[in-house]
Amino acid sequence: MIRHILLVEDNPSDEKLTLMAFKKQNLEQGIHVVRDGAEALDYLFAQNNYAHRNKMDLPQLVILDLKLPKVTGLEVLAKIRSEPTTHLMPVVILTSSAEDKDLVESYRLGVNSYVQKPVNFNDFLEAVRQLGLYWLFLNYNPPLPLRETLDESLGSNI
Amino acid sequence: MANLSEALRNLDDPALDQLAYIAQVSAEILGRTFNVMRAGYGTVNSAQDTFIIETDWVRGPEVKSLAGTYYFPDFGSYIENLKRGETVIFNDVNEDKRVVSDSFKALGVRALINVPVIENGTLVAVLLLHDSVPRSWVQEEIDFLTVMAERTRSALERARSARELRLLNETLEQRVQERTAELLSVNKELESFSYSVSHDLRAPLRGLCGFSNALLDEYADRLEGDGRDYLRFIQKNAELMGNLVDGLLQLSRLNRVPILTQPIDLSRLASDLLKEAVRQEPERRIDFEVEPGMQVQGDLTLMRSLMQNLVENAVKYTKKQASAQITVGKTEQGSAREKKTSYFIKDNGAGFDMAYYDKLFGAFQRLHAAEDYPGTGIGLATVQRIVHRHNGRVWAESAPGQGSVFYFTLNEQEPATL
Repeated sequence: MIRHILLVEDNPSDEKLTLMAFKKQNLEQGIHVVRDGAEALDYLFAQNNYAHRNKMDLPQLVILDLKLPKVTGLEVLAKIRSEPTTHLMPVVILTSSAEDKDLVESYRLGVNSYVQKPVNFNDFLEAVRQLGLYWLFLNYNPPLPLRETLDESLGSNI
Repeated sequence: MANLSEALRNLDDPALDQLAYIAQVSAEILGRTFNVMRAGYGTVNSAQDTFIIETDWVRGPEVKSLAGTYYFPDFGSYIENLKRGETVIFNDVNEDKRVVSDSFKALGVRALINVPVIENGTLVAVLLLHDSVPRSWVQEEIDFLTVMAERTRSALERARSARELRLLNETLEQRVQERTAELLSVNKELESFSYSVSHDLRAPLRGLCGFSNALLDEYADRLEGDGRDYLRFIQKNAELMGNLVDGLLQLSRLNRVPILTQPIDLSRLASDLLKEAVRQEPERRIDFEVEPGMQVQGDLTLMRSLMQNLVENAVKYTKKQASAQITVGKTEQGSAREKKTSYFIKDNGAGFDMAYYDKLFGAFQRLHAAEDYPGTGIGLATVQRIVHRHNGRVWAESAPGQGSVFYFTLNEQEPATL
């Protein structure tokens, strides 16, 4: 299983900047980009266009924008936290907004970290660098869900 | 008779505010007590010379209600007696010489009594009893009716005031609700505005900033000297606008955050901020002095932002002085019992021309060229909002080249409630 990050970002300019920042850390290889909340859920739960994906091949980290088409970032977060396969998955909100209500709602839904995208590019680089380093190398992720827990939850869906 | 007194006392109950109910009860009491065919209480519209019976009491279904509006001249000369405040008595309509409309006969009325209610010399109401048979009204009955008429009038008047008051209250209540709804919707609009400002305006700026940076970073060698400068200008401007957007947001947030008041050591807050500011200017000489022991009541986050803005300004506008002097302290005015404390921060910097004083605290207003003293122009607007949210005042004294003093007060009057 390779270490990878799921980047959920609808703004192409922000996507490019984030990838540029990861590239500077030589981390761009493991990044998969999806462009709205619905696609993020399809990817994580290997459904629809991502039905061919291995359900167990989950990203090390989800970087989530809040304002997304179709399904919002907060809705994606809520779904991640409610499913047994993903409920412990580290999720970082990376967004323009630092409004109190977004912060409160994100933490209430169990986000691991909340980072405001800085306007200044050097600050932005630094933020992404620290995020990558911390979540991919410094932090220990929870172990993958136990087989039987998964079977149970999958079995109940059949 | 005891029951009647009881009922009359009930009429004085200020809780009773139903006009029709009062008139009805009053009529019924009289009707039953005097054992007549009809009793009623009518109000007079002297401008139109009319008489209005809103409700009356009748003995049984065979007796017609007289509820309605009547024109005084239709009734004859005795109306003039009523207008003079005289009680009018007919023991037998058929035997009476006074001019009486035939309508009484048509209504089967033989005996009647009308008691006038006079207010400020004007006839305002009439209490009336009708009977189907001739009757000798005795003085005691007449006296009692006179008292009853006055009682009814005052009860009705109180009821009317109560009703008006209630209507007024309802109108006020409704107006308050409307205003509150308006305020809430404006507030919501403002909130969604600042939300989209924070989210939507920052994203393109980040793009401008990021890509111009990347261009400088990766393709600088392929650009002529001017080209690189232009890119730097783009980048600087995007960053500046980012700061403006952030400042604007901060300013709008200042009006929305609730104030959490707590004791604050203003001296320590000022010292910490000054120390930090000095640390960030290692090549400058900045001397500062803070009066110890200044305690205030305020919101810590807002007070820190207030002092930070004032300290930053003092540091910024003294940058051309060989030796900057910054003093933070307080002055007291008024009597010992009611002393007013003003806090101040004084510098020996560039100062400003008091002719432009009215622009000093406006958002995005600048009194110095951005080139000389960079900034977004919202620092003092922020300071003013914070002071206002603490029910204080802020003012300044200065002259070009003479330094500035900024004063503020806190908690001058009771906080305004929304």
